[in-house]
Amino acid sequence: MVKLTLNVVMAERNISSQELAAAIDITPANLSILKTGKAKAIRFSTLEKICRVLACQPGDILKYVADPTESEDK
Amino acid sequence: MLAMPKWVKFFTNLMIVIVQISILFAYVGFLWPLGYLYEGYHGDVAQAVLDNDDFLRYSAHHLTAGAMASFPGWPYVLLMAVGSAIWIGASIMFAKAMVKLLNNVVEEDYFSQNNIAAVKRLVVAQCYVVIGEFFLAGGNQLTSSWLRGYNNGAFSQTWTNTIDSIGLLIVLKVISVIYERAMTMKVENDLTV
Repeated sequence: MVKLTLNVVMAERNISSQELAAAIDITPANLSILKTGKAKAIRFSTLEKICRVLACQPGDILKYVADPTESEDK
Repeated sequence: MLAMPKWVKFFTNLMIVIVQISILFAYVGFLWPLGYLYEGYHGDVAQAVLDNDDFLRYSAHHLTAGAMASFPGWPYVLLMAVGSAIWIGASIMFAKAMVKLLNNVVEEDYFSQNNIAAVKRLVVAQCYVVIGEFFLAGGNQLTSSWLRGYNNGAFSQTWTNTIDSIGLLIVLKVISVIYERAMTMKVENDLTV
């Protein structure tokens, strides 16, 4: 599964949720969905804005973690 | 989101009231199966069927005493009692699910788990309707074969009605699957940032 490590990058950049939400023009509720990992998908446009504001690469905020249940199935 | 036109809201509310009244009548309808059992317990079922105003006979056919005597009274009574009881129960279940669904529509709550549950309940209710009609069609087939006539009143379902109900069941199941898929897409859309 793909995990969002937005929290880590935000802490490194010392930026609050409200500031980031305002900068990338999404609601705090939607940013919370991203941060808590509830999001099912992320738009390229949102990803682009996050990368621009946080001055990072998509790989810095997205991380692939092997799902233990999936490996058991195989 | 698009607001529901006032006239649609009015007629939907009207329909809710009509369906709720019909649910009350349907509960009273549970006396009907008891009537069939009473008929079976108290004597000549074939004669009772023939005396019923709702039973119409094919005019050219002469009914023999042998056919009357050999009429399977108890199988007929049981088929009609069980069939009508299942059918009434299923109709109440269907109507209640419909009221729930319509209430949510009036409140403009189109995509929710409650609606999915209500649509699934419609499908289950329709399954019971088919089962009930299967019994009723069997019972009515007996009067048609032995007494050469047909029921023109309540619970006059034939095999054709059963096939129609199976058709409706398939349509409802397709709607249920599509609705569930739409709900999944809505959730995914809501969680796409």
